[in-house]
Amino acid sequence: MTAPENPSRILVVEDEWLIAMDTAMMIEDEGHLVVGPAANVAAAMDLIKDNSIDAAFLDITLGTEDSFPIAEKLSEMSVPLTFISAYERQEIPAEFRKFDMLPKPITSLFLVRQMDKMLCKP
Amino acid sequence: MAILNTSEYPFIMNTDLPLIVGIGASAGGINALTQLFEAVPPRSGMAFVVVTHLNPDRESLLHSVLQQKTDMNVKVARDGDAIEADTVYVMPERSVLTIKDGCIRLKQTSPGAREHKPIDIFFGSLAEDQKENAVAVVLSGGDGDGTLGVKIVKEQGGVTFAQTGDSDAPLNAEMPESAIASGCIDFAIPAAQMGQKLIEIRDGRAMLDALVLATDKDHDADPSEVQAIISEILRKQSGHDFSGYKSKTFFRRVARRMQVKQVGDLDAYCALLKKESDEVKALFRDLLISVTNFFRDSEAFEALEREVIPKLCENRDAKNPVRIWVPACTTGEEVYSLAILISEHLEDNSIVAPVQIFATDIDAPALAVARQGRYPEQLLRKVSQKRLARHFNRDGASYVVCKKVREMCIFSPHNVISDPPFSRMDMVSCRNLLIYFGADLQHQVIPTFHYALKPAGYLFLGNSESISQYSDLFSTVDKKNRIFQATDQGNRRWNPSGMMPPVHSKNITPHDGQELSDIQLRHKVERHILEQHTPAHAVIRDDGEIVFVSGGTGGLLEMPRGAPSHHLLDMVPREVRLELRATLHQVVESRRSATRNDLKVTTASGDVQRLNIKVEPLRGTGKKDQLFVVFFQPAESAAPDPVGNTDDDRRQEAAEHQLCELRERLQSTVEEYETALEELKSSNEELVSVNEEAQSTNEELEASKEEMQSLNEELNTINAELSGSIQELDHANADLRNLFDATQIATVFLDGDLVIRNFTPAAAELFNLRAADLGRPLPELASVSDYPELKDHIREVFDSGSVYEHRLYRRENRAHYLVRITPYLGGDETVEGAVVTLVDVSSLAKAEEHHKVLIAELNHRVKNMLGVVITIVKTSLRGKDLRSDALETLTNRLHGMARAYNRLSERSWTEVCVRDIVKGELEPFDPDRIQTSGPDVSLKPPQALAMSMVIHELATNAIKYGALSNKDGRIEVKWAAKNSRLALEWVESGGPVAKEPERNGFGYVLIHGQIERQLNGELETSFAANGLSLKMEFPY
Repeated sequence: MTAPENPSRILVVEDEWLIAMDTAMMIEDEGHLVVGPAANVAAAMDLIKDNSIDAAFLDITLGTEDSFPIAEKLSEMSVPLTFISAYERQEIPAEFRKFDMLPKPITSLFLVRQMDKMLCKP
Repeated sequence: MAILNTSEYPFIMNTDLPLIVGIGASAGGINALTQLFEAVPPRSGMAFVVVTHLNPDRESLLHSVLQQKTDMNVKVARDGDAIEADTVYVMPERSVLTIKDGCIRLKQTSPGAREHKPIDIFFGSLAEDQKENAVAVVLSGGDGDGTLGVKIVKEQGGVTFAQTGDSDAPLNAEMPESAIASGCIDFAIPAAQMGQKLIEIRDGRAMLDALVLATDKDHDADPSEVQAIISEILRKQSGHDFSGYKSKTFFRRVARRMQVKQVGDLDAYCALLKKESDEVKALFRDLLISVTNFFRDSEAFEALEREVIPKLCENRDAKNPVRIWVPACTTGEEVYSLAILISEHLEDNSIVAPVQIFATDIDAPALAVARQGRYPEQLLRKVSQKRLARHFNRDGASYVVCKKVREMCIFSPHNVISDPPFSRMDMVSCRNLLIYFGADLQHQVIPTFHYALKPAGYLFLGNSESISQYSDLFSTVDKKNRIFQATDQGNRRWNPSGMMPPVHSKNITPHDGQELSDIQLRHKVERHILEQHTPAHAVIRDDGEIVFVSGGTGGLLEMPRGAPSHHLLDMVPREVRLELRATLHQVVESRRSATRNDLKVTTASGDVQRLNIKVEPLRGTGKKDQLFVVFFQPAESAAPDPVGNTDDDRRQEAAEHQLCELRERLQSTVEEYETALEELKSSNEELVSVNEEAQSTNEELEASKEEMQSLNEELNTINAELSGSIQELDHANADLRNLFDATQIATVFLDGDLVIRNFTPAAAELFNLRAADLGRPLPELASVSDYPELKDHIREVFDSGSVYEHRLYRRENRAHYLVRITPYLGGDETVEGAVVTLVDVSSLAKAEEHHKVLIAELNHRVKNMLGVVITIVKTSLRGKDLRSDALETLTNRLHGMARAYNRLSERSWTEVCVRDIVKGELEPFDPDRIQTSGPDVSLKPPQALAMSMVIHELATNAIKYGALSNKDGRIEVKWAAKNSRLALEWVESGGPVAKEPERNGFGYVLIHGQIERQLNGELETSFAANGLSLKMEFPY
């Protein structure tokens, strides 16, 4: 895969390790850097604190908790984010429906397209 | 033979027609009707019509009352109803019921008006319409209604009943008694026995037919022979010969009697006649049924009008009234006929003269009917229209004699045999009475008539009556029409032997040779002396009332003018009244006998008689009820004293002087007395008119009393029923209350204004309802503020009339409720309110919630699982020696499946649109190169899954080898639905030249398998030069 001139830093939050790995590989295949993956809210918050982040893919269900606090945090920081979830849009709280959402499982085609959209690439 | 009612109508006998039983009842009628109907079986083959006195202002419920008592169908009579057997028709209020051609005719009475004699009117029409098929039953009631009707029924050959009884006597016997008194009742029996009798009559009708038609040659007895036998029996007893009567008519009456007596054949009936003289009388009476219709025997009345009336009305003035006596007037038709004739003559000749027609009868009830002067039209058939208009007022369905005629007639109870007769009559009209009297009674009555008449007064008898034996008393004026004139006999006397009970001496004549005992002999001697040698006398009470009158007072005692009186002082000649009064007074006071001698009396013939009067207390009579004997002795004319002396002269002079003074005083007393008398007369006249008014008021009152009473009875019965219903209601109420208490379902009953009418305890708890909240609108309660839509929801129920369901969550107790609003239907199925029930469905809601979570979790897990599977496949095969595209194909297939599941879970596993499947799978590609078209067709989950996989395979193939593998290839997807089959076409163009794929390639197998096996459809592929083209079709 050809690396972009200045790779972006993408936060991946996913509690299912295998899927997290797959997602990370797909991102890295595009030449970007993966921050994480984080499996819970606390780990993600730490990563956000410690790293500068250009975009984020968030799974919604993280074991017993959900990723909405992370989304709020990122939203405050104006970091573009996309939920990747097996939930339907209407199943999540209304205030989070404004964010983009991709159904699980995600194909690399859609992932890349979405990543480009977040990073404002044509 | 005019007195026998020869049939004037075609003779129809049809036993197929139901016997129609007309029942007239009034006060006390419910009881009697109940007794009657309870004895009638439900399939009697008879029809019943009940006519009662009804209050026009109240709805009658008699029909529902009667329905309880009988299994027959009871209905309110309607105009035009054809009368059917085994049905009871009840007259409704505010109408007059008649029968015409076997159908009921109802006429509404005008509001406020009242039909006075509905039973008479109904019976009259029933008789005319049904003839022999009619039965008239008179039950308890007042006012004498039905009497005239019964007469018509009887005359037309019907059967008549009247209620009697000892223990179950009619509550108000006036009506049946009056009917019985008319002599036209066949059966006077208790109401409970009538049912049985009616059945017997119904069964006897066939016999009646056979007899009357007399065509049956095999009949036991030869009819003409039998008629001869019966006629002979009748002739012997009554002296009237019936042998010349038409046999049909004759046998109809005989058959009727046989039916009444329940005798099966003529021989048996002849035997009965021979045995029972009462039966002979009854048959005789039936044969002579002489309903004294108005102007019955018109010829006779014409003769009377022509020959007698003008003479009667000659030389009359106010003090000289026309006086007529009608003994045995029964229900008054004859009386009014005479009154009409006289009235017409007086009017036509402008004569002003008072007319007094004394109409008497033994039966007070019959007199009551006569007094009212109200007749149904059937009795007025012989009256010309002109006369009807002139002398009658139409009142509803009956006619009332006009006031002028009515005022001529004075009705009073009187027994022509035993009561003292009237006197100074101008005419006695006594039609069809003598035929019922035996020779001995005739012997007594005819001289009585002679006594009652003025010299040359007229006697008017019935067509079959004769006075041939009394030619010394009467001369004949018109033999055919039985008009006679009294001859002037010097010695007119009333034979008072009639005062004693009539001696039944038919069989015991004094000349039958038997020896008399000593006592009998003594009695005979004493009686002989008494009759021959004692002066005429009268026994009176201390107030002058006559108790006994001897023979020989004829010249002295005379019935006074006006109402009959038994007062001696009224009956003696005026000249002796004063003396007699004084003497009587003296004797009553002193208890000693006193005498007045030499009183002058002018007899009717104008002679002057001298009379001695002696009054003695009658020995042996009690002090309390002392009787007195007054002797009238003709005085021997005292020979004047031939010798006179001066002393005597002087004394005589003084005496004469004194006498003179006394006379003058007497004269002035008499004058005063006469003035007083005049005054009395005028006040009497006033009283008479007041009385007249009072009488009519009384009639009105009687009628309304009748109505009230029958209404009251009806209401009583209904009340009893209502009490029963109330008890049932109480039970039902108790059941409901218990149900309310037992049910856990909160229920509130609302009326049309959403006001609370009732609620269950569960609802009370839920809404904090208290008894005081009844009558408040439910939506306004604070406890339902969390359900603001309630009002709208109820409104919707009112509008639609169907049930409304709503899920309500109440925060205060975190409970879910199912609210059901049901329309509250009134008796006529209209929505009158709403029933609101709340069922706690919290557990259900919880389960649903849980269920939802489970489904979401499952969807989530399935997709997650596919994600994980894809990752495992990718990671584990990464770096392995595989064909470069093999891994991609595999993961893409798995992604395709994941997308298909996604679509399904988005739709909650219901249905997915074909367009969504196609577009979803072709989404990653350039939309300009792909064209899709087709209608909205939804597929079920298994079909949607299969379809998704097929489209995915085709898309993958197109990328690899087909239209999407170069820069300009295009794909067109078209589908259509027809007959529950979906046809889809996939056409590629502009791609590289299509190659036939490997038959055993998995993609090919997958497409074929999915379409032909999974979807049970057909697949057609063609590999044209410009691209793949594929058609599939499967049922959906």
